[in-house]
Amino acid sequence: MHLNRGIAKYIAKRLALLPLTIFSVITIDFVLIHLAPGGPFQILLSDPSFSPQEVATLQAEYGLNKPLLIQYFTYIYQVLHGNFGISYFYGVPVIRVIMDYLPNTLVLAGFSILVSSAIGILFGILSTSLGGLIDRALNTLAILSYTLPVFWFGILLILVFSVSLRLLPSTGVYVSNTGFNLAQYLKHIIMPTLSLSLLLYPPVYFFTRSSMLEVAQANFVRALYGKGLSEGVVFRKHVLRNALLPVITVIGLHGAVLFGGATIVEIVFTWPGMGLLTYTAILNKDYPILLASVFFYSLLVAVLNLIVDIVYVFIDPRINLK
Amino acid sequence: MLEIRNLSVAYPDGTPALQNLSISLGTREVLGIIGESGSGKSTLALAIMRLLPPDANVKGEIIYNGKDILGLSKSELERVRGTEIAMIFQDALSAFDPLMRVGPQIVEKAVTNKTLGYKEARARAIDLMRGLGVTNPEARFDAYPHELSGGLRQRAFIAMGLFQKPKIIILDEPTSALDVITQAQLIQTIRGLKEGGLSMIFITHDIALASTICDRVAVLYAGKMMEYGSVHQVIRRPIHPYTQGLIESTPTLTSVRRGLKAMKGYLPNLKSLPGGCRFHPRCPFATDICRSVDPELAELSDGRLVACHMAADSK
Amino acid sequence: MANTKLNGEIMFGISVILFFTITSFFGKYFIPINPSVQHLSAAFQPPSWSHPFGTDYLGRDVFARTLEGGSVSIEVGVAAGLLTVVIGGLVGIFSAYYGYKVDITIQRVVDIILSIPLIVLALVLVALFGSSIALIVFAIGILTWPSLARITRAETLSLKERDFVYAEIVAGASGIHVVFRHLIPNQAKTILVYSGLAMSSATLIQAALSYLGFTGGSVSWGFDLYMAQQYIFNGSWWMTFFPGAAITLTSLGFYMISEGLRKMWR
Repeated sequence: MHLNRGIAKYIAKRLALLPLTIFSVITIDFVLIHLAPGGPFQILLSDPSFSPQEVATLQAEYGLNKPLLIQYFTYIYQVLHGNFGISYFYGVPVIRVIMDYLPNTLVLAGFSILVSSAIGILFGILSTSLGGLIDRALNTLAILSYTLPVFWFGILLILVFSVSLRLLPSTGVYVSNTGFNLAQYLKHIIMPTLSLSLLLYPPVYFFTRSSMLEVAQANFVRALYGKGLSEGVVFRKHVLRNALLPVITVIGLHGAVLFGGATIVEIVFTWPGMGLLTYTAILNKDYPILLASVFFYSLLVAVLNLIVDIVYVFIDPRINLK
Repeated sequence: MLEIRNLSVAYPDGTPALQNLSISLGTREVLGIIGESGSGKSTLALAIMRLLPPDANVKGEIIYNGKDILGLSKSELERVRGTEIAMIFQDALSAFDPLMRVGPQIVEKAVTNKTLGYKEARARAIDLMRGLGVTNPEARFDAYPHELSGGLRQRAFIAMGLFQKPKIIILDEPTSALDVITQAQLIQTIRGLKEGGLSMIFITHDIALASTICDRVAVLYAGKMMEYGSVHQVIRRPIHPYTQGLIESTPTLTSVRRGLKAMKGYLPNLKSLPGGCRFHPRCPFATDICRSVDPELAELSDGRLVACHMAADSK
Repeated sequence: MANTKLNGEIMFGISVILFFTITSFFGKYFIPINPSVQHLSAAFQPPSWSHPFGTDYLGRDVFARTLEGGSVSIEVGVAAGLLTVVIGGLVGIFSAYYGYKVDITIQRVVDIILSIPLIVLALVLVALFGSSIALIVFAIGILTWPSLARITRAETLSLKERDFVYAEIVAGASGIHVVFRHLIPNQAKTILVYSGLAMSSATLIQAALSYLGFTGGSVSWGFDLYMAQQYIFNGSWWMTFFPGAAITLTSLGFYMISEGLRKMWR
């Protein structure tokens, strides 16, 4: 671990670039939602059950009667102040709704990253150390996990653990009057986490495996043996660290997959996170929430990438930022 | 100190890398192994340290301290490597773990085996580096491999090899990756080691370089030894046509004016060696017997060994 | 070529896809049971001789539904996969070929698309534009092409440096000519291998969309799973198991073709 001015500058630079992508996302999102046939403007116009006066009133109420450009800049201005408008469905500020749901997604994502990394790395190490039949078996298993629909896996888990064995609850987050109960909370989160991990572990596994094979061939490994070090020491102290270092980047690369998968898993298990929120917003045609949730998704992915990049810069001494 | 008897190494697919090599290394002696790529010189070094890939086919004996290295158990091997015989190879950058600082890697074996405490080891390593010509060794100890220049890295690599005070050190092209000036400095350092009483096997393609430092040399071609004798014999008065060719094609300051004399032909593909003497397609003296019979190593009157039909005659 | 015989992976993949294609599109001609007929009195029956995969909540035969429910998945899988490959391939190659501003702009677009989870964007698109099969194909296609674009771009950048391409450019060949005559053929294998992967993902995304209610019209495995989940505490595991297995096999089939091609061409 090392800290220097170069790293600080790098972090600053990355933070500065962050808004650009998100900004573009908001723009595209905004244009799409407001111009598309399913968008708020068009839907109001084409709905015969509203009389023209009702339409006009609603439009004025939601600011939809102003020119698109004005609406756009108003929106940007509001976003910069943390104001995402009022939800059509819930009637409260969007930002409040998002803040209720976002933490649950973060928890699910966090647990899943841990579990899938652990499984992926463990299997990768087993594959390369034991080789042969075990390698092929794990390989096949990873491919199967990759092609399995994540929501089907979730339903199967429910079938086994909730229906047959009656061990685990099948939906939601436990909210109790008596306060936070860790055991119950874990019972609720374990199946969603396992499902999401199924989606995420294969890339980690494949990458760990290839990284280990690559490192094992490296020249310095020969020099290490030449010094008379035992296989155990060479493996633990050197090969492992060198091989696992780049695995972090895999996690960053799959940020979008992580949150997309989380969306589906949340819907399957009715886990109250961003995914469930977005889905219900689509069904309810709640456009302010939709707009905001797309924004937050891209923010989440961007932040994850940023974290991964920064961590990587810290732990790899070869990166020279001066 | 080290005696190699009839060493043959083949790749898993059968291609021969080394054929029937027998050489010996005496105490305080520097043995030069000269050859181009594919000659088997690096294979020899790896074979001695038993660092060849596990599916390589190795036959023969490598006797050290009364025991055959090829027959040692894993733990005995681990003891021999580094502490008795050490190896330095060409690319120092790829010899270090890029994620660890150089110093801890130099002292790694001793500290892991608890032979030495870390503080003591560090002090000894710093002294060693200073002795090898490393400036500011305290700072270098804590540097990462990529932070050092080529020359410094190579010295650090040598320090890593010498740290355990081995009896024999194998140097495989230690200076090839360096510029001429650094190379000269490093050779000075290596010469110092020789004077300090170390036995060395010095592997190089540069015959001129070998002549400055070695006591005896063996010339290898396509996996077979062609000539083996003292430096005076082999380099001053080379008998084998290949050795002669090597010397004549070495650029010197005078040859720049006179022009280089390159050997004709190309290095043979180990998978399809020419029949008879493997050098015959390029040899200016080749005759029928050279084309059909592979010459054995024969001892000449001055004590050297040569594998050439033509040489056997002119004693 | 290393191994021109069709290897196990490709055989498996082709068999599976072929099987489901035949049963989905032509099953109505030879499968005796009708997948849409409802027998409410015979609902939730476990697998038996008359109903090998049991019946669902409306008494419909699961066996027939499973075999014939693949039409949308395969259609979308193949179409979206091809769309991805065509767009991704061309964009990546042109982006690398023309370089500079074109390249930078396209890179930004790629970054943007890659920063939003697929499903979310697909859901938004489907919600806004309706859920016809064409739209689903379109939505999946335009969301998954960036990954391939990155690959072809990298390949093209390195190919651009190679002599034969450089020679063509210097000789004044037009961009289109270079792209179609040289850059594409050289990457054809990579692109083909990727197309299998793209089809595999497309199938999964379509299944997820249909699970969420956006089926594109006809019978679809994903939606069957949704209904199966509604009645899950009934214990009728066959409603869940078979459609899901079908999705997995189809997706796996495409993936295996891709793997097989990759192994064959290494």
